[in-house]
Amino acid sequence: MFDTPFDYEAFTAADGLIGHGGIVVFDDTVDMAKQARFAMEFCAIESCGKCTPCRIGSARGVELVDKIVAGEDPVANLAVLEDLCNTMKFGSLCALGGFTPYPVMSALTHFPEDFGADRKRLHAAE
Amino acid sequence: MSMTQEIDYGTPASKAKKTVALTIDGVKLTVPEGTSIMRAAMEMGTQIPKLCASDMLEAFGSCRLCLVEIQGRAGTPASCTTPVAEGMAVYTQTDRLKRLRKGVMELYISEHPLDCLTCSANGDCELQDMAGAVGLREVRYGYDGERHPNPGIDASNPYFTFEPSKCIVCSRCVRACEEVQGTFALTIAGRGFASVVSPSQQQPFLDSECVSCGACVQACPTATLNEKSVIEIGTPEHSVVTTCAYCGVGCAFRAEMSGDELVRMVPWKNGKANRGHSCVKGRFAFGYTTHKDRILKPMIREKITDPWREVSWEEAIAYAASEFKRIQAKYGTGSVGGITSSRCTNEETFLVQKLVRAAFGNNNVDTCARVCHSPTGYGLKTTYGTSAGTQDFDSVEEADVIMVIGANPTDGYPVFASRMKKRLREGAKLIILDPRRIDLVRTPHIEADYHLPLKPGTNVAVLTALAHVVVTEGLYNEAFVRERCDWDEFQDWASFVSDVRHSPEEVEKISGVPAEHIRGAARLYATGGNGAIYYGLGVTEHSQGSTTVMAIANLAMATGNIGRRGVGVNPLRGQNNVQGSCDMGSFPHEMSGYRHVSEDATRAMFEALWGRPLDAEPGLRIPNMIDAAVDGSFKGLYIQGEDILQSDPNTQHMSAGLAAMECVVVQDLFLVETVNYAHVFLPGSTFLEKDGTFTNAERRIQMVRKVMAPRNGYADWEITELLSNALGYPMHYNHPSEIMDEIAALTPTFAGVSFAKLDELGSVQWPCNEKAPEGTPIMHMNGFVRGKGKFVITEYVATDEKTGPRYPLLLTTGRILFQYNVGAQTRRTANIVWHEEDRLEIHPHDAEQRGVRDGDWIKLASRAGETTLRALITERVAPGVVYTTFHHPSTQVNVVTTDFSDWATNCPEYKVTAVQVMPSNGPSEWQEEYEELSKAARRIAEPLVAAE
Repeated sequence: MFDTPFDYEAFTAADGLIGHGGIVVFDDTVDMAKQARFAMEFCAIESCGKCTPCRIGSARGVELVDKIVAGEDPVANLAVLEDLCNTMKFGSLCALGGFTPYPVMSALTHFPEDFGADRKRLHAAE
Repeated sequence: MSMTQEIDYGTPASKAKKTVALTIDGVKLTVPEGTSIMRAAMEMGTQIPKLCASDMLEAFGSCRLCLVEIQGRAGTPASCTTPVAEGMAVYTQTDRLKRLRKGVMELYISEHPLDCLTCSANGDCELQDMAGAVGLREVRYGYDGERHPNPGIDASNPYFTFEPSKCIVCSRCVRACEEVQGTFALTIAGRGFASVVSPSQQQPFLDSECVSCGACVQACPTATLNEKSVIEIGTPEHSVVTTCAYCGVGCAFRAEMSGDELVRMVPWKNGKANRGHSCVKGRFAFGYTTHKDRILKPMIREKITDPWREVSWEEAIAYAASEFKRIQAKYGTGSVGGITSSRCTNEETFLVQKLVRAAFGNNNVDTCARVCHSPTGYGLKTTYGTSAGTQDFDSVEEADVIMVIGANPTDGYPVFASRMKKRLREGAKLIILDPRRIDLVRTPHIEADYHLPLKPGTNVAVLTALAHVVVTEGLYNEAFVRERCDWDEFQDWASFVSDVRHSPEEVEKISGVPAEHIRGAARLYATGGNGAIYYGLGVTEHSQGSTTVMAIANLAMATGNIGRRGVGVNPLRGQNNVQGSCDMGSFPHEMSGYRHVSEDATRAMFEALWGRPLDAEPGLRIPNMIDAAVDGSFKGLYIQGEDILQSDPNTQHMSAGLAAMECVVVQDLFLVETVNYAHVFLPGSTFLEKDGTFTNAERRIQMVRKVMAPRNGYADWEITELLSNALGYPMHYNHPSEIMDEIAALTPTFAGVSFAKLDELGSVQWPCNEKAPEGTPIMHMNGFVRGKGKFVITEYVATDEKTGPRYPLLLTTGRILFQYNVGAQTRRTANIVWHEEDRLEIHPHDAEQRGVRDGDWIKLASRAGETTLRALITERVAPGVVYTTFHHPSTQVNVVTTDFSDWATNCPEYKVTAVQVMPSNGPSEWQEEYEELSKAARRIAEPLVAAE
C-alpha cells in the first residue's frame, strides 16, 4: 500500500481518498481502531446536525467502534459498521458525513488486527 | 364521511409555464419546469419516502430518505432538492436505495423514545409511517447508546405541548415559522447530535416570540409538537371542511371530529384565502363554543331591572312578536328595526333583512359595517362602481410596491399578513401610513421603505399630498387614465391636487410627516412597478373616512394600478362575514347587491317574490336608531349577533338609547353588554352548528358546514324564521341552500351561486353569473363596473374633534392578535393568557410629564366620558398620540370615543379622540357602577320547580 502514488485516481482505485491533500504521518505503533474511532468522533463534534446520517450516524459510529474493540459481538457489529459507513457515504448531505467512512473502512480493510479485542489497547484508546 | 385525505406533494408547485418530460420508474410524465422529482413522482401516484419535506415549505434535503437513482448521474441525490430535467430517467426503488433508506430509519429509531402505543401521535405519525414504508425490522444499534436530548416537556402554551425528546430535527417547524408565518421565532440550537428546537433563546414557548399560529404543530411529523386536545381526546376520525368565524381573511379549515366532539381545527390546504395557514384564533380558540357562559335557553323579562326568566322557545318568540306588534301599533311602522350580524351566515343575514322589510314593513336595518367599512362601500362605489375590494389575496404575490394605510395586518389580519410578508421578503417594497410604529414597520427580514407616522385625522391631507407629487412630477399613467377614466374629471382633479396647499411641504405642517418622505413614497408607489394598496379601519373610522377611501381610489387610478394582478385597492374587511352582510342588503338604503331601495325595478323584483309591498324610503342607520330612541320615536330592536353597547362609540349615548326602548331582542351566544338592556334573549348557534356561507374580504363565498347539532336547539336562521312566522310573515325554508337560491334569484351579482357550485369549486368570488360562471378574482379588468373610473375631489377638512389645553393628546384605537374585537368569544378561551386587560400605550415623554410609570393606573378622559386602565410606556406611538384596544368590557374604551363620524356614512371616528391622561388610583366610579349594573342585569331567576 505504501507504494500507492499520491494521486487522486490511484487513491480512489485503492478505496482511499486524498480530500484536502493533507498528509499525517504515523509510525507503526499507531492504533488504527483508535484512528477510525477518531474519524467518527471528529465527525460527531463537527457535525452541523442537519442531515440524519451524519448527525446520528457519527455518534453511533463511535459507539460501534467501542463495542467492536471491547469484543462485544464483533462480527455482527462489524457488519453494522460497514452498513453505517455505506449509509453515511451515500446518504449524507455533505462531505463531512460523506467522507468520514473512508478512513474508517480503509482502517477496517487494511488493518483489521487493530480491531481485535486487545484489552490493553482499549484502555490506551480511551 | 371520513377524514379528508390531503396529499402532501413534498415540495411547492412550480409556477413555470414551460414543461419537462421525464420518466420515473418507467412511466413517462410531463410536469412544469422547476418541479422536484419528489413532487413529480407524487403527482403520478408514487410516494417516495420522506420526513423533512412538505409541500408548504421549500425543499430542505435533511432527512436523506427520499434518495433516488438517476440514470447517467453518480450517487443517490435527494429527490426533494433535485429538479426534473428533460429526458431524465429516475428510479425510486432499487436495492441500493432500499438499503440506504433502512439505514437512515434505523438511525432515527435508535435515538427515539419507544412508547408508540401510548404516544399522542400513535396512528398520526410520519416516523411510524416511514419505518413501515422502508420495511425496518431491527435496530441493530440497540437502545443503550446516546439518546436524543431531552430537556423536558414544555406545556407553557395553552394549546399545544412541545416534547423535545421525540424530535427528529427535520426543521419543519423552524421552516414553517419562517416561510409560512414569517415570525422567525424558532431555530435549532446547538449542533450535531445535541441539536434541539429552540423557541427564541431556548425559552418556553409562551415566553418566546411565538405568536401561537400553530404552523409548527401542523408541520411536525411526530408528537413533538402536538395539540393538547389531541393528547387529551385522541386522534380524530372524520373531518368536515368549513370556514373560520373570526376575521375577514376567511381561512378554510378541516374541523376534525371524534363523533360530535371537535378535536382540532386544521387549516385546509385548498382554502384559497389561507392556503393551509391560520392564526391562533381560528386554529385554537374555539373553546367559547362549549364555554359555561354560553346561554342555551331563551329568556324574557318585562323590565330590564327584573331578573331573567328561562322560558320555552314558543313563549319567547310569541312574547317578542307580540311586543313588536304592540309597539308598531302604538308608535308607527318605523318605530322598530333590526341589526343583522356580520358574523352570521349570508343566509341568516338575508333572512333578518327580509324580516325587517317584509314583516316589520320598513327599511330600518343596518349592520356593523356601519362602524367599520361603510366608507369603503360608499367610496369605492362612487369611484369604481363596486363596494368591495378589487383583488384576491393571491394577487399580493405579484405586487412590487405594497402600501399599507391605517391597518395593522400582523395583528388584525394575520394569515394574510404572513402572505404579504413572504412577498416583502422576496424584495417587494413597503410603504406604511400609520400613526403608530406597527410591527410591520420593522419585523424579521422586513423593513418598511417609508413609514409615514401621520397625526391621527390627517389622512386626506397626506393622501392628497401624495397625489400632488404624482401629478406635478408627471408620474401619472396617462394612457390608463385616458382609456379608463373621464379625462376632463381627471384634469379637474389634477389641477386640484397640484395646488400648493396640497404640497408635501405644506402638508408636513399639519400632519407631521417630513415632506421628503411623502415625495419618496409617492414616487415609489407610482414608479416602482405593481403598486397595491391595503387599508383598514385607520382609513375608514374617521370623519373623512369616505373621502380617504376615494383619495386612495384616485391614487390607484392615476397611476394605473387597477385591473390586473399584483395591484388594486384592497380593504381589509374585519369580520368573517361583514362583506357578506353588506352584500345581502343589510342597509337602510340598499337591497342585496347594493341596489338603492328607491329603484322601482329592484323593489318590484323583491315584492314579486316576497309577496309584500316594500318601503321605498331609506330607513334608519344604527346611530339614527339610537338618536330616535332617545327622542322617543324608536322603541323596538331585533339584534342578531352584535354587541352594540361595547363596540359602538359614545357608550353613554348608546345606553340612553337602549334604555329608552320598550323591546330589545338580542340573539347571541353570551350575555354580552347589550343584553344589560334587553327584554328577550334568544340563544344563538355557533359556526360549528349550522350550514351556510361566509363571504371574506376577497368577495369569496365559502361554505360553512355543520359539524354538530346546535346546543341551543336551533340554527340562527331557524330562529329568525320562528320570529318572522310569529310576526305574521311566513318563512319556511328546508335548508339554507334554498335561501341561497333565493338570493341568487334576486341578486344579479350572485345569480350563479349555489351550494352545489360551492361544493364543486370550493368557493367563488362574486360577481358570479352568466358573464363569470366561476366567479371574478380580479375586478375592473377591462373597464370599471360603473363604466369610467371617477376622480373625486378630496378637500381636507380637519375633524371637529380638536385637541386643546384640557385634552391635549390624541387617542387612536385598534386591536391585537389574540383577542377578537369586543372579546365576547376570545375572552372565553385560553387566549386571555396573552391579553388579560386593555392597556394604554403612551410615549415616554408624555408619561414622564404626567408622572405615569409603566403599569400605573391612569384615567383616560375625553369630552364624551372617562375610563381607567393601566399604562404601557412605549415608543411605538409618537409623542402626543396614545393608543388602546377595546377587547374588555371592564374598560369600555368606547365611553371616551365621540359622536363624530364620517360625513357620508356615519362611520364613527374611533381613530381620533382628544383626550387627557392622568394618574388615577383605581377604576372610576362609573366602572364600578357598571360592574354592579351588569351583575344585576345578568341575574337569571331559578326556575320554579312545580310540585309533583
